Amino acid sequence: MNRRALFFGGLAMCLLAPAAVPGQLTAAPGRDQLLLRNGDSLFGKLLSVTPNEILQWQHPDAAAPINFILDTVSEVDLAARAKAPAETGGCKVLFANGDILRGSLAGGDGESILLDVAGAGRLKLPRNRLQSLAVTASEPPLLDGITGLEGWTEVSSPIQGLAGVEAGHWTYRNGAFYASKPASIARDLKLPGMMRMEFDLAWRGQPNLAIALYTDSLRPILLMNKESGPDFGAFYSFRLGNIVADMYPIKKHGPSISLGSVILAALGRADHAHFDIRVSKPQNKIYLLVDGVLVMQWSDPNGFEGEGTGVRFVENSGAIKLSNLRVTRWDGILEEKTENAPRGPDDVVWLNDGQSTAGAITAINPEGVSIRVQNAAREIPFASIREIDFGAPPVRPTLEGAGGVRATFAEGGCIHGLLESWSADGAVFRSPDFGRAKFNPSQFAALQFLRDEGN
Amino acid sequence: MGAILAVFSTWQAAALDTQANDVLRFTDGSVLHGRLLQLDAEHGLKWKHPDATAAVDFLPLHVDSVRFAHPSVLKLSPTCHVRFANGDDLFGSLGALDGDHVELTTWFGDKLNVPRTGVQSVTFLSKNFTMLYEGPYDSEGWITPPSNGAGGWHFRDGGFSATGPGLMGRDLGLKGSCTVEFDLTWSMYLGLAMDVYSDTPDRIDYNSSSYLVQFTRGRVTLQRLRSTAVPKNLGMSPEIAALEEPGKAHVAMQFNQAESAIDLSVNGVVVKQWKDDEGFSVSGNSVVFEQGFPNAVARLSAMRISSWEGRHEPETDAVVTNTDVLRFINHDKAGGKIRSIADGHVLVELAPGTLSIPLERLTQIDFAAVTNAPPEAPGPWTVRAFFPGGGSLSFQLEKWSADEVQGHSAMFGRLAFQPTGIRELQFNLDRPRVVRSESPADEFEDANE
Repeated sequence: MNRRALFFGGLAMCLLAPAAVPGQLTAAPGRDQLLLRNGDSLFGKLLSVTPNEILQWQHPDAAAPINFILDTVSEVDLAARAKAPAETGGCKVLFANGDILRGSLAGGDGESILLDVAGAGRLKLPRNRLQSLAVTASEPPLLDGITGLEGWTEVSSPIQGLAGVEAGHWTYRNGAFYASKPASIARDLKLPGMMRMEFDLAWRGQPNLAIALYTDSLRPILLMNKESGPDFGAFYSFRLGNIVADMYPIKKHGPSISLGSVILAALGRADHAHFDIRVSKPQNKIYLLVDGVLVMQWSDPNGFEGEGTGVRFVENSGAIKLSNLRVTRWDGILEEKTENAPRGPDDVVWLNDGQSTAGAITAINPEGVSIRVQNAAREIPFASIREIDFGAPPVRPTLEGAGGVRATFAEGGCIHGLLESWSADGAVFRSPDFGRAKFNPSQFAALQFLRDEGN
Repeated sequence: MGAILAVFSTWQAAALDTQANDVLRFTDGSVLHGRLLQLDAEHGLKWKHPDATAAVDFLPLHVDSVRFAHPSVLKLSPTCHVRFANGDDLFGSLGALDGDHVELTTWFGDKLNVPRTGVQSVTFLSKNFTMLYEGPYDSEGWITPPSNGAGGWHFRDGGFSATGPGLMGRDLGLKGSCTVEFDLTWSMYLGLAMDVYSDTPDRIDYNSSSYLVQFTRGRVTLQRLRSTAVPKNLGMSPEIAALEEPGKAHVAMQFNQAESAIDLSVNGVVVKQWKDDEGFSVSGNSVVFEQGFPNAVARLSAMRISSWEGRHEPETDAVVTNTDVLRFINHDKAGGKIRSIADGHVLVELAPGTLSIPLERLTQIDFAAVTNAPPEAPGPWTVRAFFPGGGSLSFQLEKWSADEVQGHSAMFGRLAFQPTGIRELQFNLDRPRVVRSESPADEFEDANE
């Protein structure tokens, strides 16, 4: 399997916004929300989870805490609490089951690695449970998720004035933007020349989305009137219509000619996908990856034409959900493997310059990695490493005992395990990957209580 | 006004609900199923949730409503519908009226004397008006063919919802003229068909004699199905603003056998009147609903199906003026001052002079607007009770137990009900509420997570 596809698969499990039920309402700041398996919901505060499987909930109008039977609880969406200890990490560890832990690498050998996790201390992670270890970019992302309409310019789509077209709006809910009628939302993200933008898209009917890249206009441009309308700087328009993706350089004057289109047949059978757009201004190139697979590379023969630093999403019809939007500076490396390539027995160390070294890692620590390559030992400084893929098919553990919990971190990523207890003092999990660990409850954004049968 | 002990003497006996399907809603949109055990000003609201280890005592500060899963079913035969200035409304019979009071007989079983200033309008119902169905409170009696699939009609919380193609029907014993009304909530696409007087509650049979109503975005189309010929298209409504956007609308259709006419009202406004020139010939007794679109949500709730004889005028929102307005069965309208109502006649001062008009000539009386109607004091214990079959009453709730509800109304005085006679109890009438609805966003959550 494609390396990115695997990684995204894990992300898809762990980075999705907390699940919701039909009719769920947006949680107000400072309030947790309890969702029961029968569809009921209640705002308030999670007080505790006890070993005898009682979840204690505080409701402002209830005379005393309410004790719910844990097995009947589906999810708890946790409001932001006092700020969690800052990530001291620098590493993001992806487990075979999709779990993600962030922390600081403390050491390791051929059997395990040691990770210092904020609030939980030093955890020993068996190598055969791990998929990869990524060195977290030291530079913060330009945008890390959708948190609300603040900072965005939201208006109806320009086509709403056309005959028979109704105005719509993007709305925010639970970490996502929604539009069911033509609408535009834009933000100046100060896009750098090397940029990576990832997002999840879900739709009803057929998607009909245009994304303006490197635009200087936060208001949508009606292309049929662009020359007579307000001035704007040139930008790139990524169009997604049904199963076709296009890229157009759009200038104030002159025709708009596509740089090429690609048919994404799989989208015709799907209702959601993960998109990954990477831009290299120096190389005049734009790459499109869908669900982790590189599907298109556009080159602009006229040089890079985008004049702004903003991004604009314009939904033209249908209903759409945009979530997990993340924009980062791109390092320019686009390493893609053949889809479904078998995972080899070797560990692979990916370097910042795009090169890689395959072999057997014998030691790993904050200073560097020792790797044996064809009977020769090599030392690779950690500072030059971007990611490590651990060789051999990892073992996917099963949860012992009944049920389990998927706990999503506020900073992204999640872990599966048994929740032994939860209180203001700590959340104790028992993980099949790293054993028993106590976390700071303020680190979590959601708890999903899984059913026994194979979840 | 003297104290009134209002007892549900005409209600059919019904066992208390033993399942936890009552619904407690909060003003922030939270919802809990369960069962109301007790309610009083001293202890608050005691709620038993099936997933909680013990009953919970809530203060009513943020309670929106309690809806009861299985209230008693009332066999009503009222002659009028009275609407009050404070928003209450009751079905009953109009006895007499003088300068100060109106005498009403309601299903309470007693004659009520209410201040005339509190009455907004009286609508006179048709002869032999009978409520055939009011609900839903469960899916019992409805047929949902197995071909529905997962998206078909499902009962939940006082309504039927479909998230995909599906059909449901019920033999309601329709005969003669009838009114079918319901709240319709929808998202994305509107593709609802309703077959009235169908022979077949398990399908729409195009070879039967019935009326097929099709609701699409902004329009409603009526066809007459015929057993001996192809369906006859009776025409399409004009654009209906209330059905242009996904949301909720109250739909009422009146099928008038005597006049071979079908009237469509949406949100209380008559939007289309059809005439079937071939005569009102129907063969069945059932109503069938079919949701046609996949990936769309439709919900039917607050359903009321009644039968009646003779004429039946759509109830009209009262016109607020400084005179009493009389609406006649020939659609005339006259303004004046009503002096009294007694012995089946209304004595009214009109421009020509004082006239005595038989009540049977009237369809509705809108009383002159007044400003001194007795209000209920706002507060968390001021509640409005909604009754099966229609009608609502606001009062100060004092105590609720398994046997009796006690309260006090500024208009009616002391009240006492059997709790099984209440369909829903609303609290915090003056507080803003979060409206839950079927929205496209909700569907995304269903599909993806």
